[in-house]
Amino acid sequence: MARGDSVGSREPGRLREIQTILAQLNDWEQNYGTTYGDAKGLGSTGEANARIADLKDKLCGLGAVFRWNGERYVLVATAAPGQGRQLADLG
Amino acid sequence: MRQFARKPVSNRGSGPASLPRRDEAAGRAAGMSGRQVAPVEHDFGRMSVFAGPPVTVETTLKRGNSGGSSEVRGDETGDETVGHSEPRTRGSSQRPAWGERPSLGTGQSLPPAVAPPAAPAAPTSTEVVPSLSFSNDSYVDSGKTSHKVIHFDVTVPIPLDDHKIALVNNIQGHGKFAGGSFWKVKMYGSLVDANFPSMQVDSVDADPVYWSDATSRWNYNLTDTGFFATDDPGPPAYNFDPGDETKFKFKTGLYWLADLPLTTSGSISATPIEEKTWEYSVVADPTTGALTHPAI
Repeated sequence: MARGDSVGSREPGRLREIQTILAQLNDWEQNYGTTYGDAKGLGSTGEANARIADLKDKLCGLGAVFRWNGERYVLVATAAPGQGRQLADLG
Repeated sequence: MRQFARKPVSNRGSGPASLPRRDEAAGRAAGMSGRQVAPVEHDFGRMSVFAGPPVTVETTLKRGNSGGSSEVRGDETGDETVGHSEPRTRGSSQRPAWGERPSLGTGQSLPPAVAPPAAPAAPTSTEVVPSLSFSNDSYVDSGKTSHKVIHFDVTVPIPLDDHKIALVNNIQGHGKFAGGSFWKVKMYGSLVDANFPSMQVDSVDADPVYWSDATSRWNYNLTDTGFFATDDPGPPAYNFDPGDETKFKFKTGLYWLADLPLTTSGSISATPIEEKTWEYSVVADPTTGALTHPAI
């Protein structure tokens, strides 16, 4: 975690939005994603992969620092808006 | 009340400018002052506007993230009715009306008759509709991978509601490995071969609306001029080994959301507002593995 990152933002609105998008991201990944688990061998006509990338972009825009923990995406920290990023996968 | 977040636009003298005036008139009738606007419910899904004589109206609109009511501001000077012409009436002036001859005194000669000008063309009706365009329709190849992250850019003229317009993608073609087997994709919630001999709806779930999910049918990104979504097709891990090939032809359509069924098994009967085609075609040379993009 980088210095200055924190979980439990003083901006509950932004944190709530991050959690909502994170839930959407996990739904898309678990239902239609092609990156993890049994879905690794799947191709994509593009819809799901593009949507997942779009949701990750939104999270980064909101300052979310998140990662794949082996089962799902989890919020690790919050940074300034626009400074979010996906950390290396676990598991 | 909904706030449109859109850059100021000029209505170029066409009909939509009449709507803010209607709102303001309603506001005044309701005792509202200044730039307050009455909460009038509009169905901006479709509308035709009157293409009357050009009138310049400076209009500022703001667009927000939610659907519903709208606030539209127009200039508040004058009381002219935009998009409407008063019928011409003959005045009581001394001039004769067109086509009439003036009365003459004795001994006066008649001037040559002046032909009346051609009658103005009948006003026409112009339908305000959204439009679709593509951007980033290009391949990015790196080693054995090939991406095309195409953008579907939808322009939504004010005062249409973005949330009443949706994209539907259709697909035809195949994606297969060098050995001849097709790789798998999710289609309408099931795993199927990436082999679509004829054009069919392309959707990971049963809802034909592009990017729809269990929580919402409409999940696009708003812009100053409308909204956009992206696509990014490809084989597993976007990897092409020698001999692999994917040849997909896509037809992306713009629809009124209300026209689209909640589920599909491959086709829909709704008529698109507009459709455009594009391709994702990648072939890895069987020997060298070099990637090419032959037209389909």
